[in-house]
This record gives sequence, structure tokens and C-alpha cells, in this order.
Amino acid sequence: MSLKLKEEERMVEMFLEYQNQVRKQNKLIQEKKANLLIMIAEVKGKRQELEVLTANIQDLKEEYSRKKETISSANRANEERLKRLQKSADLYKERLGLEIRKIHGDKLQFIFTNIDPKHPESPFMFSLSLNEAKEYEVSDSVPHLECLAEFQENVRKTNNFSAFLANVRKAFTATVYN
Amino acid sequence: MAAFRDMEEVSHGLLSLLGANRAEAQQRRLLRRHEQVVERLLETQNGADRRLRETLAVEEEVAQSLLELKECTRLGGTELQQLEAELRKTIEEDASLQLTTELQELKELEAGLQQQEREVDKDTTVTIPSAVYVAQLYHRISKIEWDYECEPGMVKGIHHGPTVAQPIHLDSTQLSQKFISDYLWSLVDTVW
Repeated sequence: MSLKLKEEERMVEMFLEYQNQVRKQNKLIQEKKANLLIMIAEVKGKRQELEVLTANIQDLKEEYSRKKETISSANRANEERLKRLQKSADLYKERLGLEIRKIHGDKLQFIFTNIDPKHPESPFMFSLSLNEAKEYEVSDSVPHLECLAEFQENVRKTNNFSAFLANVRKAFTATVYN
Repeated sequence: MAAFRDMEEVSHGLLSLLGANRAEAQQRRLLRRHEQVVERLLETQNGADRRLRETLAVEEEVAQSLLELKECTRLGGTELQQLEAELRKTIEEDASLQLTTELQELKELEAGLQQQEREVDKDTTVTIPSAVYVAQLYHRISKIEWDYECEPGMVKGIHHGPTVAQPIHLDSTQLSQKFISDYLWSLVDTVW
């Protein structure tokens, strides 16, 4: 009889335990269901946002692609023009035996070649700049030219740059034959 | 217990029967008491039977509820697992919804474009004007215009003098560079 009673007591205990477990489970289930609903809503929202953004990105990509085309063709045009300009300058430089270079301090350097018949590649040069009064100022001539100061005065007066250079070249040539 | 007491009485009665004279009446009385004893025994037995049956029935009910409850917890556990799995899946999905690679691509595209734009700008605002300036300077100095379409090896162009325009036509394959330079410079007026 006491064995039966013990058994029955056990059953009651187990019953109460299970009841408790079920209560806890139900609570958890409610919580998790609520969380899940929230997450699902978030994901849905994100998906929609993503769609919009992806469309925007696509538009931007196309715009960039068009821009790239435009820039590329502008670049090509520039390159063409530079090529022609360079060719022109090269011809002058080669045929006249005169190189014009921009150097530091906002100066232009003029380098003559084909002056010395024995050494045609020997450079004869001077530098030119504009002073504060916006007048021509010559400097750094190699070899030194006495008449350069006079030429400077002349070109300031007449602004005849062409004659200036022709005379300088003539003067450089004269130094070779002396 | 009442049954035992009755049985005791019956035994006493039987003993007194042996010594007494009113045997018949006593016999009848004893038989009656015997009947009562047996009845009461049967009653008790039935009662015990019934209670046992009732107890077993209740036990069965409880056991049944217990099994049902156990099943409940099992189902609850399964549901929880499923919810857990769905929740994990959703969280993963949420984390995967990103546009980092696309944005990175866009940024690179943009940077590339800006770089190209800068180059074109530089060419347009600095390099080309500078080259134009130099070409114009040469032209201004020499007053010479080249023919760019002539045969290679030929020096062909026009010198725009103050009064006349003089054509230039030299064969550079036959003449030295110095000769050509000297000749071209001779066309430039040295008069201030």
C-alpha cells in the first residue's frame, strides 16, 4: 500500500513539474514569436530600402558611364590638340635651332643651337622675364653678350621681339667668329 | 472488526449450547448471527473492491493527464526550436542585406572619374594654353607658317615679311641643319 502511495506522490510531483515547464515554455514562445515578428518586419523594411538604393546606384552608374564617355572624348580631343601643338613647336625648334623653355621664377629661357659651325649642338642661351614694371628684363646669358643691355633697351622701346631675337642670334654668331 | 466480535459471540454461543437446554432457539439465533457476519464480510469486501476500482480509475486519469502534459511539453519544445531556427535565419538574412560592395564600386568609379576630370582640366587650363603660347611665340618671332602636309624631309612654308610673303622650300636631306637655321633667320628682319 505504501508503495502505491509513494508512486502516486511521484505522479503528483511530476504533474506539477510538467505544468511549470509548460508555463515557462509558453512564456518563451510568446517572447520569441514577438521577436520574430519584429525581425521579419525589419527585414521587409530593409529589403524595400535596398531595392530603392540599388535602383539609385544603377542610375548613378549609368550617369557615370555617360560622364566617362564625355570626359574620354574631351581627353582625346585635348590629346590631339596637344599633339599638333607639340609637332608645331618641334618643327620650329628644329628648323630655327631655337628652344624656348619656361623655367623657375616665371622666366623664359631661349636656347640657340646651330650657331657654331664646328659644334652645331652647342647651346647659346639667355633668360627673359617681366619685371615689376612689366618691362622686358634679360639675364643669365651664356656666353655673355655686351650688347645685350642695348638690345634690352631697344626691345623695351619698340616691343619688336622678333628683331630682338634675330639680333641676339646675330650677336651670338659673331662671338663664334671672333 | 465487527465481524470478529460477531465470530467471538458465535463461538461463545456454541460453547453455551453444549451446556444449555434451549438448543433450538439458540441454534436459530446463532445461524442468524452467522448470516449477519457473512453479509457484513461480503459488504466489506464489496466496499474494498469498489474503493480499489475507484482508486485505479483515478490513477489512470492522472497517468493519462500526465502523459498528455508530457506530450505538451514535448510539442512546446519543438515549437521553441522551430521559432529559434526561424529567428536565427531572419537575423542572418538581416545581416546579409547590405550594399557594401556596390557602394565600394561606385566610390571607385567616382574617384576614377574625378581623376580623369582633373587630368582634362589640367590639360585644358594649363598644358594646352602653355603649348599654344609657345607655338604662337615662335610664330610671332619668326613670322613663319609651316606647311604640315608636305613630303617628309622637306622644309616648306611661308614667311610673312612686312611687305611681302615669301615662300620657303628647302630640302633638308641635301642641306645641313645650320644652313637651314641660318637661312630661316636671315628672313627675320633685324631692323628695330
